[in-house]
Amino acid sequence: MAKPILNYLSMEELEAIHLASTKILEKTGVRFPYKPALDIFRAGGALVDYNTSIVKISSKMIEDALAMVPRELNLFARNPEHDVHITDIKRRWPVWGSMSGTTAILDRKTMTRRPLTTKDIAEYFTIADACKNIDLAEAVGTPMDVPLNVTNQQAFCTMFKTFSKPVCLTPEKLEETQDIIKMGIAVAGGIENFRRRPLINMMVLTVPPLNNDGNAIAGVMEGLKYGIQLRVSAGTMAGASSPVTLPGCLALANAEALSWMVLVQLANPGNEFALGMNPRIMDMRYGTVSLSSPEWAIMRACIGDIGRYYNIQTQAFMMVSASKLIDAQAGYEKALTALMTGLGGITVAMGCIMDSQQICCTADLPFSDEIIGAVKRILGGFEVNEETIAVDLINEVAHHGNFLETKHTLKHYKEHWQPTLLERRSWTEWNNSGAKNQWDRLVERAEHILSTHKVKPLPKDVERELDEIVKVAEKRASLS
Amino acid sequence: MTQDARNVQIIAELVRTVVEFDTDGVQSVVEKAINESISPIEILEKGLSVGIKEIGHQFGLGNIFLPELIMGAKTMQQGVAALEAHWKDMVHERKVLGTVVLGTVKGDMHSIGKQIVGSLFTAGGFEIINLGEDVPKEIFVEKVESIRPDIVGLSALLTTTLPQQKSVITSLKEAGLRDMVKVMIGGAPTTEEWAIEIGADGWAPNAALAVEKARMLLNIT
Repeated sequence: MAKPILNYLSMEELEAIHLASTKILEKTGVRFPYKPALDIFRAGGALVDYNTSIVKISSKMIEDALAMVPRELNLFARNPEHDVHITDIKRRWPVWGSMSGTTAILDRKTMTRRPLTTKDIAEYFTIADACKNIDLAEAVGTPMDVPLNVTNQQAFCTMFKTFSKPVCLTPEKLEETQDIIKMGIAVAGGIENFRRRPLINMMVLTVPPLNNDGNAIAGVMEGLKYGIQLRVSAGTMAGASSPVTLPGCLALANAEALSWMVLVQLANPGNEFALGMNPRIMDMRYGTVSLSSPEWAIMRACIGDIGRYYNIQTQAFMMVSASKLIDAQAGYEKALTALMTGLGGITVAMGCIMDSQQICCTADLPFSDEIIGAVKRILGGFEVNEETIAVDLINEVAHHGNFLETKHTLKHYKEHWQPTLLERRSWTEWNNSGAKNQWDRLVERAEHILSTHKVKPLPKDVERELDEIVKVAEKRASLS
Repeated sequence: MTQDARNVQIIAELVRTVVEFDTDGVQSVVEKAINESISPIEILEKGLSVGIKEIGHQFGLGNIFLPELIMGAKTMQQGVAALEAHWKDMVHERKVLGTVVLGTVKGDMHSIGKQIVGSLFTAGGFEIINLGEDVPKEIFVEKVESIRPDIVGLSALLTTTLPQQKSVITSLKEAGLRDMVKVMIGGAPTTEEWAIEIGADGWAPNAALAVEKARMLLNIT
């Protein structure tokens, strides 16, 4: 089958990066400022300094952990039809997800930026639920109409009600993580169900260079008690939190990601894990994080190479434009990075937001969905055989026929990707039907989805339980 | 060459050392100036400060970028340190546009944005005291009390550490220090609305605008 594979790094180059990461882990180590994690590392044979919280890890520990990581990843959803089971490192295309981190939304009605609200989150996830190419989601952001101490709990409460696909939690605080796991258990219908099919998967962000947030570690370790899958994301910033040169940026991110692999396998051997990184550059003119640059695109492919080198599942962020609008810049930034991520063979690809992770937009979902559709087609490949070369047919139709009326065309034409949001008609037709641009069509699509798509509601008692968890969290926060 | 002509030459060398962000060479140039009996104030105001102003100017024009700016600020700081080694009292005589205490709030380890802000403030003629990261509110209060800066800048990069910016302001109020200092906040999740909500005096979306805002707050034209 004809299929694209992009190998950006050679075997020697991958070896060099891997060796550099092991050198970093042996010589300098990574800081894990959370005593239970340090205890686990020490019991596993790492060199631990309890004063500095620095853990030094040997190559042997890395090899052992690598051998224990399951090669599969399973994402469970409250609607089992949306479960995702990944068994092959060399899959056809990534699992695509919508990520988190925003505090503002680009209002699709006014095209202006305003604080994100709980109502926005409900709309956002209703649309994400309907988008066929979006497989999972994080909580999209921090609703600003909720007390700051319970924003994450409220976001998850809303997400569980309006989104029936797998959800991802990035733990930031222990109590908050416990609250959200409680929600997952309630939606699963009890702890036995939850252990069998964890309705939450986790991601953790490192703090480069070579550091971590103690509260995040605490949250992750709570999740590991339930066997929840962890995908690490080491977000080195070239020239700021890592060397400015891309291999150094990758090697440092890889070292951090490997350290989490070791911790997870020591804490719960056989726990599902993905080696994830988000190496990016800093825009040296503006001092902003540059997420959608060609360098970012390149490093997506390199992460895929690294994953194949270790034979391990990977995660990367992609499709995060720097643009403040859904415009031409957003288009090519998202397309380039989605394509490179897919060609690179990443397992879990998260993104679909804007302004370098600061803004989301409900119209961005059908936009991202469409781009992913096109990329999936590129990655999908095609068969080269007698039937598809169709030489007999060519000779039959010969000099004056056309292929449109052949049974062969009828049989195979649907293998081509059919967009639903791109303008492909004649100029006159386009002009006569309102001369709409992409933004207009996206807003229409978002509104259409909102008025027609029904997410199967949770049982009333489960919804009440979720609301109660938020209420209790709010009360607890106000007392402290 | 006359002494005056020689002094002019050395001052020019001081300026050039900062403009060319020569961190390796700055100490010896400063010492050369000291040996020629050029006054510390002149070394600073006619030499090093002129150099850093030029760096700031070129950065504003987009002719140089952050690495040059930060290296320039570092050169400036090393030059000032070399001066202070000779004249411990010079600190008090030194004319700065203002003193700024910077810190990343408790629970937050991020430092790069703060460093960029610090460099631009240095380039802009301010004195910077960087308290580092994960700074508890008590330390902010203590430093405001002891240093009496014109501005205290609070940096936060996580939505979970944002509330600390509010806590620091409350603590300053409780210590009776709130009116003695201008509080600025910054960091990716911060907004103007948040700054107003918590009673900060200023906010800016980037480092360059932070310096402009600081000048406005201190009535510097």
